[in-house]
Amino acid sequence: MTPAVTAETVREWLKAVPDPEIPHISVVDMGMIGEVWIEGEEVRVELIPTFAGCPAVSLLRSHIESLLREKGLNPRVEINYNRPWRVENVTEAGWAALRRAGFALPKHLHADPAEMLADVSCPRCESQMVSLVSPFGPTACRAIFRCHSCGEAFELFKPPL
Amino acid sequence: MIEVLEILILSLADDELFIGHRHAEWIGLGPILEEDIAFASIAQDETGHAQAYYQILTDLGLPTPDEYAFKREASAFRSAHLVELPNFEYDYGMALMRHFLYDAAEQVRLDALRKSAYEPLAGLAERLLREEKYHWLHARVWIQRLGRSTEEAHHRLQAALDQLFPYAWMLFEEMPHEEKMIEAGWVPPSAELRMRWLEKISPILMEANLAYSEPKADELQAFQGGRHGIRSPYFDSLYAEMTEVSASDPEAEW
Repeated sequence: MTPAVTAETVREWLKAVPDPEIPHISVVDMGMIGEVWIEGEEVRVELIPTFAGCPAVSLLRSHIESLLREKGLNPRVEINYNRPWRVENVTEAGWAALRRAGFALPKHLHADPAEMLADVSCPRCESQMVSLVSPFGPTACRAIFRCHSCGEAFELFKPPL
Repeated sequence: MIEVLEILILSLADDELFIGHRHAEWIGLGPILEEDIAFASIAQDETGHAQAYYQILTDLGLPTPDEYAFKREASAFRSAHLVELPNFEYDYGMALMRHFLYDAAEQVRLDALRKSAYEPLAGLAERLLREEKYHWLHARVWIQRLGRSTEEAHHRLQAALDQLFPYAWMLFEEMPHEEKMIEAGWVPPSAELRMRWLEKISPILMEANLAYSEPKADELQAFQGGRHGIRSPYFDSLYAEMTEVSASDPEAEW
């Protein structure tokens, strides 16, 4: 008989599952885990995708399911496209992880994208002498910039607004 | 009424599916690396949006997104011909102009759908709009900049606008049973959305010194019918290419 597993325990375990596109941050800190329901050994996890077209979602589902299977549970991940992912769901630890990974963070979360992209500081030297190279980056949630002070290229974490 | 709902959702989804595919054809061929990435990224979003629309129908017990995308008769598609058009000679002016005209239409359409009485659609529109803002920004900035840059850029954008405008006009072709959709509060009339679309694109085109003339009804023969299952001459080769892999093993699990 295994000790009772709670939703909190499951959440704690899922902190070991990285976001496949920004592996420096866990799916929990990214705010992609919604409800967790437990009935005996059955556990259902609600997964909230960031972008509707995110190709990493099915990979993520299998990562979560295999982790929970290793813990002796019978998991089912339910991808909920109806619940919008909000940037407010990113945890404090999540923002810190993004910063450590070298991302610039958006200063305006409720603005027009043009406004958000126009006010960005270099994550390395803090300079505001930067220019937008492309609002689209290697994944949907990243935009590419160049810093004119330190000469480095960097990426902005770009959430759906 | 589910048949009417299916017509509405497929009209939205099929546009997304094919514009996504056409945009993806620019991967590796963009004029600069950043534009290559931009079109790839937008293509990925649009294809994902098509899937999300199809899923609304799947949840009602209708076919799956894969079945809708890869296993349908040509006449069961409801896309506007604008999105089926090939990239022809890979003229970037054409690509940007289609992107601009289409994404302006999407802004207008999604903004209206947010208030749809059909809740799954209203909820989805709200989410998609948050992603689409970036597409619209990309399209409009390029039109504004290039329209006022060199003579060649201006000339190519104007030629693209001339060729694409009647196609884009038919993004707002009246759908079959549209009166029932309007009565149910699902969507405003297409003709009304077209007016809002014109209000959105006109000031930007004017600023870029680009001009269009509204097509007359009898000039539209060659561009209409998309919403009614009539496909453009470009559909067959497009669909053969899109389904090449899935058709090679129809029972495969992805």
